[in-house]
Parts: sequence; C-alpha cells; structure tokens
Amino acid sequence: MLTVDNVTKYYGKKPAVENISLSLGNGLYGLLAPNGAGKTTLIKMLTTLLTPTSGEILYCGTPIEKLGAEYRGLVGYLPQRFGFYRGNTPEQYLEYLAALKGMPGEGLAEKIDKVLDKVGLSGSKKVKMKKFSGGMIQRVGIAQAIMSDPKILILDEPTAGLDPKERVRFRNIISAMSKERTVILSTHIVSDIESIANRVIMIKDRRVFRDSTVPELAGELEGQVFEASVPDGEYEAFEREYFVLSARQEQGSMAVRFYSPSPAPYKAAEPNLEDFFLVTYR
Amino acid sequence: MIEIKYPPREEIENCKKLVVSAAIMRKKTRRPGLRTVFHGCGAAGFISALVYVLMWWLCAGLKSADPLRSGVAILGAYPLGYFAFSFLSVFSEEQCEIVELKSALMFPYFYIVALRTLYSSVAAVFMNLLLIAAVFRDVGGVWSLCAAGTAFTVILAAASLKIYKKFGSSAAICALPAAWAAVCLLAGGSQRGAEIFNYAIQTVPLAVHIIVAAASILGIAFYVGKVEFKYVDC
Repeated sequence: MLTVDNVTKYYGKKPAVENISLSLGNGLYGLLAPNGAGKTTLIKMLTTLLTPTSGEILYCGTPIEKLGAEYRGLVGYLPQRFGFYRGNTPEQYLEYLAALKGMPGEGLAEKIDKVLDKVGLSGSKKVKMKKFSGGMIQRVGIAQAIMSDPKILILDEPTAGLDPKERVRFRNIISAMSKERTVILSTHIVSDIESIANRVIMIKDRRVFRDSTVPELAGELEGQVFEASVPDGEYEAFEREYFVLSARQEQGSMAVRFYSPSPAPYKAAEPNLEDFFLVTYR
Repeated sequence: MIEIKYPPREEIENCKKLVVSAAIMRKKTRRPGLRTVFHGCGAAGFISALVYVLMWWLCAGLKSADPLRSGVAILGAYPLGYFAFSFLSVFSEEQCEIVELKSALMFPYFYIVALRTLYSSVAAVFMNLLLIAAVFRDVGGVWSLCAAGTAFTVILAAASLKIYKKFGSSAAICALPAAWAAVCLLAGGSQRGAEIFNYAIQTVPLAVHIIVAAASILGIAFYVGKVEFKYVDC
C-alpha cells in the first residue's frame, strides 16, 4: 500500500503540487491532467527523485526515503524522457539496468528474452539502439520498467511515440500486470487509461481534483452531453453558444458533440472520460 | 467512539511478504562491479587518454627548463587526466538523458558516480606514479611532488563529487580544474607563489607528504563509504 500523505512541493517559492493525499493499493491508477499540471512532479516524488517540501509518502506505513534502496528496488519506472546508450543493443542495456536494479545474474538472460518478447522486440535484441525508431525505444523503456517484476510500476507518458497497435499491446501488458501490483500511469491522453484504469486521479490547480472510477467521472456529465448536426453556416454561432467537445465534417453540415450544463434541445449522448477531461480543463 | 479502519487482511499479508522479501533481497545485494560502474564510459575514457598523453607530453617538454617550472607543471598536470574523465563521463550521460532513470534505481546514479570517482581517481594516481617514475624521476623533489599530487587529486575528486551532488550538473565539475589551473599559474608565475611551492616541496619532509596523501585516499574512501551507506547500505 502506497500512501501519499498531504504532500506539497515547491520549486523555490512556486508551488508545483499542494496538499496531495492518495491511497494506492493493487490496481491501475491513471494520473490524468494536462501538461504542466504537476503530474511529473508527483511521479518524481513517488520515485524518490524529488523530496516533498512538506508531507510524506509511505510504503506499507514506512516513509519511502527511510526505505531508500529497498523501496527503489520495488519500483519499476519509465520516465517521460527515456534515455539510452546509442551504442548498446536492448539486450546489453537491459543487462546493465538489471545490474543497477540489483537483480541477480542467475536466470537474467531468460528474463530479458521474455520481457523483450512481451514488448515485441525479441527479433531486434542484438541490434544497436541507435537504429531504433522512437516507438521501439519506448518499448525498450517499458521492458526495463517491468523487467524486475516490480511491486510498484510508475509510467510517465508511456505511450508517447507508440503506434495504435503498440498502444493496444502496451495496454494489455499493463492491465494484466495491475492485478498483483500498484500501477501508476501518468498521461494526458485519455484513451491510454479509459479502458484499463481502476481509478482515475485528476490534478487541477496543483491539487487532486477527482479520485474516482471512469464510470463515476463520466457519469458526472450525465444529461449534459449532446449530439447535433449543425449546418455549416450556423456552426460558428453554435460554437459560441456551446462548448464543442468534437466536430466532424459531413456533407453540408457538422456532426457535433457538445457540452451544455443546462438542458439543450438536442439528442442526449452517453458521456465518456474524454468529455469529462475536456470540460474540466476547458 | 473513534472508528479505526484497518486495511483488508490480504493487504496486511502482502505487506508482510514484501518486508520479508525486501530483507532477503537486501542480504543478497552486492556492490556493483567495475563493468557496471564504468558502463558507457568508453568514449570518455578514450578522450581522457588523449588528454592525458598530450598533457604529459607538454610536461616532458618543460622538463629542461628551471626546476620550479618543471615541478609546477608536474603538480598542475597531476589531477587533470582524472578531471577530464570525471567531467566527460558525467557529461556524456547527461547528453544521453539517462541520469533520471538511473537515479530512480536501486543503485542510484549518484552512488555510481561516487564509486567511479573513487576508482578512477585512485587509478589516475597510479598511472601518474608509473609515468613519473619512468619519465620524470630526475626532477628535484619528484616524490614529494607525487605525494602532493596524489593528495590534491583525491581531495579535488571528493570536492567534485560534493559539487556534483549540490548542483547536479557536469558543468559544475569544470569549476575545480579551472581553479586548480589558476592556483598552479600563481605558484609558477608569482614570487610569493614560488616561495610557497619551493617550501612545500623542498623543505616539508617527504614522509609528511606521504602521510597526507595516504590520509586523503582514506578520506575519499570514507566519504564514498558514507555515500554507500546513505544510498544503498550494501
């Protein structure tokens, strides 16, 4: 159990996050907020890269800075910018990171093979990473994060650079892993977490704004999301009146999905997490 | 009546298992080997070797000049090979953007840098001793110069580690060799500096220099041990 107890972080005099309190057991937690909202600061505190200005983070009741290496040994982390040695093959790089994670050498080669296979890179394990695409590099990043079978998995914007097929593969891996561990997935892409998160934590104005399930969050907009077909000439006026969530060009008109806090004379639509995200951060 | 919420039984059991497994893992933990400590430092090592050869070649060129200049050149050159490696190895890792990830691992980046500092400064000292014994052994007070150079190298290495911890940037490491070069220029170029230098090398007994050098090596080993205790507790 990971507990964030009233944590605040200042950079100089500027607050990055304030009074964050969370309780995270096994399961997948989506940390959802726009860029610059404080997600990465929170992630860095959870990985001991930053120390809170006030408050504390506890693992099984013990402050994580007190646990030190023991705690870091339990964490798998994929940073927002995953760096690598250009001259290394994924196999060499994972071997190296395994040594830094304190993983025993016995059975390591099999473990690396297995994890590279999981992310679809077994055929490229002997190719130098300088020849890899952005998506392939990101998959090496995911492989290193899950390689040690961590009890806590922290992923900061993990799907950046992945193509749709790779995203689905990634979601399946993470979803399966979250049954037996705490997975924290920080993103500003709603679809990354909509179908797999047990809970969604939204940060707004440096504080936890919502900590809830996807259906509960989407349900908050029940009866406030509508769909309409708006003739091209009227679209600008429509946009001024309502908050448009999405619009698609059709022949001579726009198929619009929009938000209205008060009843509107249009067909009501089923709200989803993306609607809630857009309405929250509009 | 205060209601106390306990976590579910399953979670309590999970936490117990984790504490036990962490304890077992900790017993198995061993200090990372040289291959891990120096991983990715090939280019930095190669460039440092070139700097090292060039620097001592310049020193050899100054050997025939007056003894003061020879001495100052040897002492000035002594820690620079180490500094070139120290700066370049951290700089190259910053360029690869791997510092953040490595800092979050069980053996964090600063601990690896500390081990690298210890090993590479001691290795640089030994290389210098061998080279000086081969090329510069006829320079007056050469063994005092070696002992003083050893002490300065490890003291400056420890200082660079402290500075890196404070500022978290390879650029900060550059401040020390720059300061060292300024001190050496002052020693060689001013009357007062030359007097101090001559006194330190010619008058202070060799035994004192050796004791200071040995104490410095023990000092940096102790400091790196403290870093190890704080970050890893092997």
